[in-house]
Amino acid sequence: MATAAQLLLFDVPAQTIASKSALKSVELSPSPTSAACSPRRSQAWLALHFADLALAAAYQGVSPAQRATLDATPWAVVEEDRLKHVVACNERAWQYGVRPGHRMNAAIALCASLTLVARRMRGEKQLLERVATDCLKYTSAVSLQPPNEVLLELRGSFRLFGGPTRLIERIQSDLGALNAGLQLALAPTARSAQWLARASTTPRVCLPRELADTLSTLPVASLAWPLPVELQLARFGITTIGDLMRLSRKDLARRIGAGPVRELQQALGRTSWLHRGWSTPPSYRDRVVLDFEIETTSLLEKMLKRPLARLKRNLIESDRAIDELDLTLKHREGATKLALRLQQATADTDHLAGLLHEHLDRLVLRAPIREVLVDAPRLLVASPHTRSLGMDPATRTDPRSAPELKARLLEQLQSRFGTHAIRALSVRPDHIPERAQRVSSTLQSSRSAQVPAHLPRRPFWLLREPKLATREYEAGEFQIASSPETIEAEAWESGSVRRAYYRARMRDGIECWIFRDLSTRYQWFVHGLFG
Amino acid sequence: MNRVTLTDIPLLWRAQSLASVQSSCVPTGYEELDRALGGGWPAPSLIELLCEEYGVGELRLLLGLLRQEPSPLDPPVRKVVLWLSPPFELHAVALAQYRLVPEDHWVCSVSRPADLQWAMTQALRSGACLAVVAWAQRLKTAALRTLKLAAMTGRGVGVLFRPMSEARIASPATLRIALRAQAPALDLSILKIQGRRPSIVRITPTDVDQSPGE
Repeated sequence: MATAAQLLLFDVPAQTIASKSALKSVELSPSPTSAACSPRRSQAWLALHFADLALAAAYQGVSPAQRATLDATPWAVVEEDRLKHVVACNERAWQYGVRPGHRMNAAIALCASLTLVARRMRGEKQLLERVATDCLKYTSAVSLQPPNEVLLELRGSFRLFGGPTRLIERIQSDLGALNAGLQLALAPTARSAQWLARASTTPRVCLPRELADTLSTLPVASLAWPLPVELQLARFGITTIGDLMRLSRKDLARRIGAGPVRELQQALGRTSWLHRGWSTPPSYRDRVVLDFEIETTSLLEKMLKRPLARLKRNLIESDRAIDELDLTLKHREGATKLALRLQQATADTDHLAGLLHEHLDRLVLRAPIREVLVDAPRLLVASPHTRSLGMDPATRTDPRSAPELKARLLEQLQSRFGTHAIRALSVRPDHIPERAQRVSSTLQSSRSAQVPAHLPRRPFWLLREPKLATREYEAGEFQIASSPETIEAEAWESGSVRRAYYRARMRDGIECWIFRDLSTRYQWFVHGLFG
Repeated sequence: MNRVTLTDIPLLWRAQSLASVQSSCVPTGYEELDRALGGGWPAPSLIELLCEEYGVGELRLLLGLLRQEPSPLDPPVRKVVLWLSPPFELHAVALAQYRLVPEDHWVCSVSRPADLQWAMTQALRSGACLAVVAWAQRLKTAALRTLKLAAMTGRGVGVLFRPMSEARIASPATLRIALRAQAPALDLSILKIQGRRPSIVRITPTDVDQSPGE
């Protein structure tokens, strides 16, 4: 996933602290002038700290039946190491005295009815990534901080969402359903927001001018620094960040290492902190396990509405489009695959549903379906079109651009008749008539050659194979109406051809393009019709 | 008090939008035919050509219809001409010689009549097609009506080549012409034309490009 995430540089400008009014003024009245008067945009970072991420991931990993029993009993998540430490526990277990860090035996001694669930590291990672992807709807600057934090830069989103308070409330209600112990804090620098979120269970908002004061009250113990550093600082008699800030930076770095000191500088906005930006995953996958077997395609179509709606929501939230969709219909044995290839990337799943209808119309199910996989192998950046505000009065529909209409028609025809059924014509530079044209099933690539101006008229209709017409010629049915045009090709030009072409009229008014084969005993052929 | 006017009713179809549907004529390139048709091929419309033979000049008749005027937009928007189930292969060089752009011509061979009707309806309705030219054997009246409606919706021209025997059965098409070759001329008997009187026109199909844009 890290390879896909592009590197975004969020650097904290040093002027942030100096321009005090920026965040405050937005909170009171969102006016565009306040942003304009600060020389560089100040930033507002929201840190999401999930204290009970392990608990939520483990809860989501078990079956629904087990979840009901977990709800009613005290339970805890244990690490899969030798001593089986408790990582997290629920409220009931907490009342019995079970705490994170206890060994399994100690926890069971405190609470005999304790249910133990193994920790799912992969589940936690996936859950955090899902949260980060979800957060892309609030802002495009999202950064994942493993193991259990997500940072959002929200300065540009306040107006859209109605101010910081509203936005924080909305994020809280959106992510509250996870039950992952969400703690959040808004601060002018990413590091300070992270620290504040770790320290307090209630949402905190820290204004730029209060940054130093707020940070100085934070206890060192809440920073999740390495234990030796924490103990060393405790020996110095330092308990809060304020104590730490009074010390000389150089000496401090010599004693406890450069890392914590740099973090302190970052929190105060004196140095920048670069982190990896989170972007949407490069592909989309969905899996629907059916409770019953589906035997008809019409039922399948109805069933597919919900996964498609999910896909649409996902695409619109992440501002993506797809040009390829694979459907795998799993049977008891084997699977049927359906592939939709689009000419133009789209996020319009109604169009996809229409194309699927054509595919499913042709499909004969060889066995009942038990499971459906929806897979979009790549998500492309959507390029929204400019649409007119009103409708076209004649057709009363949303007017679309011509290339889009063309692409849609092609997709429609291709999904019904197959990819190679629709062919576009183009001219090839070759003097043999049957080789002078190319029929390509890929419609964009081919580029037509120029036709020489002096070339005699060619017929509209070309027979697939020249038709032998020696007998008709000898019966005098053709009335030659032009001088001969000789076309020759040697054997090394893929087949030897020696022909003399004439334009001839038959008695019933049909105009033909006939030729005399000069290489084989003067036989006559019809090769085309002047339609 | 709020007064509701006719313009407030969203489903009302205004006469000015109707007028643009009943619209223009595309010159055929043959003076006699233009006069008989009242200016040229009607567009958008469904045109039926009843014809037994191939190679009598039936495609040269349609040239005016298939040529698109250069669009003022940049990049130029090109519409498609879709050929459904043509009896022979269409020759790209000939298209280029008549100043048509071969890349705009899509050919699709469909075997079942139901598929042909579906494809033609979709193509006409889509609005991406300048014209759809199809060769069909049997089509029901209801199918023809659908095609005509689709042509009006997508503002394209549907051209149907059908056997002469269909002349006995009435059709909802905008224009119906029976082609009969009388060497070297071609007799066009206009069996039905909306808003005008049926007549018979004799023209001589020529290779000379008769469009005014030369």
